[in-house]
Amino acid sequence: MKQFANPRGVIKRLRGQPASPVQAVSGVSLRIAANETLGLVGESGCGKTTVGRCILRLERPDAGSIQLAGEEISQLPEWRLRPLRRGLQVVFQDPYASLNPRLTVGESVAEPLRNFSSMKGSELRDEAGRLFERVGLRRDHLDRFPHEFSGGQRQRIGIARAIGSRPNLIVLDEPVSALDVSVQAQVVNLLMDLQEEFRLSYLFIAHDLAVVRHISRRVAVMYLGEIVETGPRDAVFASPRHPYTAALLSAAPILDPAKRATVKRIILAGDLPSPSHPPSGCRFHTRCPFAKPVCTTTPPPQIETEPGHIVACHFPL
Amino acid sequence: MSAIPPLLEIDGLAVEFRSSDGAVRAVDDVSLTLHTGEILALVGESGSGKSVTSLAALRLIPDPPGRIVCGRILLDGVDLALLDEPKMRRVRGKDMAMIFQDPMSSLNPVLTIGQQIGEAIRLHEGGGGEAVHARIIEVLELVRIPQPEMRINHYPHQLSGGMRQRVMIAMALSCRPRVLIADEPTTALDVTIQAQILALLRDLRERLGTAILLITHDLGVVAENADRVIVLYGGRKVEEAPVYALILNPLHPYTRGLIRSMPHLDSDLTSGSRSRLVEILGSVPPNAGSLQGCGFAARCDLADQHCVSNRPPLIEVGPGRRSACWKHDQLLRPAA
Repeated sequence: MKQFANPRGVIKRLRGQPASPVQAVSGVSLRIAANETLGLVGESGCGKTTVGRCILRLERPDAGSIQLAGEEISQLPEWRLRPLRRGLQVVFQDPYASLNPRLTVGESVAEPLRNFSSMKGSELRDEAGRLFERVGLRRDHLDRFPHEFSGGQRQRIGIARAIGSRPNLIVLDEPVSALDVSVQAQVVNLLMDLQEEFRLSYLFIAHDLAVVRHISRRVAVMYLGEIVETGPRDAVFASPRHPYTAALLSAAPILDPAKRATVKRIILAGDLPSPSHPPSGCRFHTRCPFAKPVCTTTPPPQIETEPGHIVACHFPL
Repeated sequence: MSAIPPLLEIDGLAVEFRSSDGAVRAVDDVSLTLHTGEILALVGESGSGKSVTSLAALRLIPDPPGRIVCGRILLDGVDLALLDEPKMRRVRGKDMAMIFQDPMSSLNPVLTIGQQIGEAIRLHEGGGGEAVHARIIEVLELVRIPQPEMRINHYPHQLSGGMRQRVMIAMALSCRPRVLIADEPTTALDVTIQAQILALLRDLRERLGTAILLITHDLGVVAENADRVIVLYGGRKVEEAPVYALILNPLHPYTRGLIRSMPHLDSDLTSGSRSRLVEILGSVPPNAGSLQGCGFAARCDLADQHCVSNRPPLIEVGPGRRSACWKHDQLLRPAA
């Protein structure tokens, strides 16, 4: 099983306004296999976007290793990274901010082709047109500007741009959260079809659990800069081992009244602690309904409850 | 709902926006009733007219370019559509209040939360100093903000998203309005905070009997919080029903399409397979509200020529249920 992005023990400290630096990501380890989707979930401020940005080297990690297809990229200078970026692309959350408003969408989609291939002129344009059609848009709209498209269409344009260089791994940071439900379904289906066709790996960063469950094969859950649980999708969703994962799952609204009656709601007390002053011991202990004294003093161990299912907790569920 | 008259009744509302390209009907013939202690959800996607409907109810549509073309907005029998602005200002915040989607852009960043909550109290009830301060603390406690005496002097940026939304709710409730319009109150919030805020709204309904018009695109939120639901599409009402009836047996193809296109946490996914979501093909046409026929026909798998040329009326299809679809009987599930 070829491994793609393999960030190990990544630590990223951001300098914030207060004197104390914020440790956005602390000791995160993940593995993404070929043609696989790893869903990365967590709430605002948990560090999931920063993990994505570190993998993309839009941020340089302070410590730890990131291996892309075996090659260590965490501290590479930009000129060494550049050719590797062909295999690593991104789709951002905000379809309004991630397309250059001064370029036609055709020019945006062609940019990676220009950077990573020798295509020119009409060959470039043809390929851009093909990519456009592949994502369900019309070739004759290539010369339009981003503001002429809807949110869902702009997201498709972002996807067309991301697949142009035939990458191995695409980092998708909240790619569908800004879209209406029916448009989300179209884009999720498109992403799944493209993954099949181009044998892509995805790091799918999102807070919407139902969408993550639908598209991911494996899932990692983050809280306050750390990964609290990782495992195969079905295992994590059906039998969460970490209290935070269980709370997250129980908080998600359920449509069917009969099914909802069987879910025990765990409503977490209080708010997220400040990332610049994370709690001692287990970072989750201040909100955990099952916390015991050891949780306040000692960081939890990583326990493998089933093969491939790992939880950071003194008392896994 | 029986002989008790509704608290809020919107009757045949139509709202138009004028631009250089002509006038667009953002809301067309929308009616609803809301009773004390009831939670009515208004569901729809972008362009459905749900926000415009609620803004129109509070007479917050800027004119120009918007305009209430026709319809009545009856609050306790008084037609708000006919009130002048000074009279309307006495209604807003006092009898009917609104909480908006994004608390950061809806709260004044240069005023403390005490000043902002106090504003409504001073405006509607007069008084000053101690009395107002006590009222502010009272309402902060109502929305369960911890350490209210300290928070009262904080600015919005010092609060988390969930806290800011509670402050918005506190502002809206400060004068005990009988109707609360909540426009996507939890969309910008994390799911665990969303659960807290929705629990708070339900609690307020229980304790104060506040009637809530809950505007959302999230059917999961609807399922867990609403008593009744109205579905809007292209500015028009397409379905109305009690919540469970709607979810278990939708009687409009759009509602059914929405439910099917959502990934559900509890759906059966065969391990390792890649199952596709059921899409609603196409997208909302910009002129859906002005079409002669059914606004959804172009995307509907049940539509025929009759649907394209003739606008379906909203008709009663069951107890408390209405649907605007020529083919609704094809969606009826046989009784279990």
